Amino acid sequence: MEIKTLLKKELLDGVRNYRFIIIFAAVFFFAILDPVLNKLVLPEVLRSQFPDMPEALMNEMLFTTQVANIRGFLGNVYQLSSLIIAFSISGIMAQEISEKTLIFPVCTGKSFASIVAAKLFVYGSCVITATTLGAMINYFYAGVLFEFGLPSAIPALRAGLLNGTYMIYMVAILIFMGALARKAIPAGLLTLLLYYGTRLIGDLFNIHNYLPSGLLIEAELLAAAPSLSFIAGSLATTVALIIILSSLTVVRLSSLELTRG
Amino acid sequence: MITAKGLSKSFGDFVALDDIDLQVESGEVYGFLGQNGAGKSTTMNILTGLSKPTRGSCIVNGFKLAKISNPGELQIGYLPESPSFYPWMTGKETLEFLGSRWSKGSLRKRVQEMLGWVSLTDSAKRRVGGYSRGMKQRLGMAVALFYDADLIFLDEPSSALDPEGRSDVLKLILDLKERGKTVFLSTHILSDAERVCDRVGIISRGKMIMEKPLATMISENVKSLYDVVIPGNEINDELINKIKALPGILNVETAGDTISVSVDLPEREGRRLLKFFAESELNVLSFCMRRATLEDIYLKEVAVDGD
Repeated sequence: MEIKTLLKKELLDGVRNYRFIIIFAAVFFFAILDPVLNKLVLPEVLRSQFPDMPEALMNEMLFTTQVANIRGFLGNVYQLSSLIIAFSISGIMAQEISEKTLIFPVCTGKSFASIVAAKLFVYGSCVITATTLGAMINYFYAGVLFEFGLPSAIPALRAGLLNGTYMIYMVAILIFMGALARKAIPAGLLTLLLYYGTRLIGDLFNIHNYLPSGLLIEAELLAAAPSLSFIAGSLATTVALIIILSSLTVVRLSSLELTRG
Repeated sequence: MITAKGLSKSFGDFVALDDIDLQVESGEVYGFLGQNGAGKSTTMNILTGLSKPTRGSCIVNGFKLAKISNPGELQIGYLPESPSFYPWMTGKETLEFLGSRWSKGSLRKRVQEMLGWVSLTDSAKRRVGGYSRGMKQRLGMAVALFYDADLIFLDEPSSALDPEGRSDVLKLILDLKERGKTVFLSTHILSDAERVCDRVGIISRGKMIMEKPLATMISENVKSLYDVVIPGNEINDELINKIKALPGILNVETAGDTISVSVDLPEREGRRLLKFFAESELNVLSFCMRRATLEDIYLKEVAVDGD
C-alpha cells in the first residue's frame, strides 16, 4: 500500500512538473534529428560551403549507414541527453530536502527505503523506456533513410536497453547526490562528474567489463551476437552499485535533520 | 506521554537547548512558551523524532527516541510551524497521499471529513501551491489529526490564521482534550495558552525556566493587590488617608472610580480591608483581588532570566 502510494506520487510529480516530457524529448530529439541531419541538412551545408568540391568526394564524405546513425544517436544520448535529464530531474531528492516536503510523509509513516525505491523505480523506468523507444525509432528512421544495415532490430533494441540501464545508474547517483548535497544544481553537477567519470576510468584503465560503462561499450558495438559474459560482468556491477547507492541514500536520509532543509 | 531528561542540543558552538527536563502526562494540554529563538521548535523537532539531541534521553508515546529509526514509528500527529506540501498536489490528493494507511473506502470518507472540518472542501481540487498561508496551516492541521493519534504536537497552530480560524483551533484543542488526547502546544499567543493549557513550560535561551500546572502557576503569582470600585464622587483624600492608616497597607492608588490597594499579606489584609469597606457608608460597587495573567507571569519570568 505504502509503495503503491509513493509510486503514484512520483508519477504525478513527473507528469505535473513535465519531467517525463523532458526525458522523452531529450532522447527522441536525437533519435529523429540525427538521421534527418545526416540525410538532408548535412549535404546541403557541405554543398553551400564547398561549391567546387567534386561530386565523388562529396559522396564519399557524406556516406553513412544505419549502423553509424544508431551509434551517433547512442553517443548523443550518453553525452547530451544525459546532461539535460540530469539537470531536469536533479531536484527529485534534493528539492524534497531543501523544501522540507519529506517531513509530512516521514511523520505519517513512509519509510526512507520506500521513498528511495519509488523514485528509482519511476525515473529508472522512464529513462530505460525512453532510450529503448528512442533506439527503435532511430533504427527504423535511419533504416528508411539509409537502408537497413542491421540484420534485425534486436541489436538496436539491446543497445537501447543497455544505454537505459546505464542511465538508471545515473538516476541512482542523482538520488544519492541529492541526499548528500541537499541542493539540486550541485547534486546534478556531482552526478554528471561520476556519470562521465565512470566511463573515463573504464577508458583509462581498460576495465569496462568491471564497470557500468561496459554497458555503453557493448551497446555501441551493435553486435549481432553479443558477449554475454562481458554484459553480465558490467550488469552485475551496475546492479550492485545501484543497490549500494540506494542503501547509502537511506542511511544518509536517516541521519539527516529534515527540519533544517 | 512525554518524558525528557537532560535534553541538550548544540549546533557547533551554539547551544540551542541546555539540559531541558519535561514531563507531559496523558490527556494533558501542555503549553510550551518562549520568545523567538528560545528553543521551542528545536525541542519540538527532537520530541517528534525529526532531530536528534546532542545529549539527554526522551520517551515519547512509549517509544525511546534513541531507538527509533523513523519518526513515523512514534504514531503521533504533528503540525510544523510552516507546513511544507507538494505545491503540484491538490489538497485532496495531499490527504490521500499522507493518509494511505487507511483502506480505500475509509480513506475517501476520512479525507472528505477532514477537508470539511478544516473548511477546505471548496478548495479540495485546487493545487496547494495556490493556497494562502492560512489555508496551508489548516491543511497541515488536517494532516496532523488525520490518524486520530493520541499524542499531537502543534507548533504555532494559529499563527497564520484569522481571528475566526484561531478561535476554531482553540475549540478543536479543547475538543481533543475532552476526548482524552494529549496535546503539546507551542505558541506565542499567551491568551490562547491560558485558555486551553493544563500545564505550562516557559523556555528562555535554551533553558526551561519554569514548568508547572497553569493553575499552580497563577495561584503562586497572585498579586497582593485589591481593586475597590466606588462612585468617583465618594473618593477623597480623607478616605485615602483612612485606608493608608490601616495596618499592613503598603500603597493606595486611585484611577477614576477605582482604588487599588497594595497589601502585605493578601489573605489577612484582604479580610481587614473588606471589613473596613463593609462598615463604611460608601457605595461599594465591587471588591476584588487582581488576578495575575499568564502574560504577567511570562513577562516577569523572562525578564528575570534576562537579568
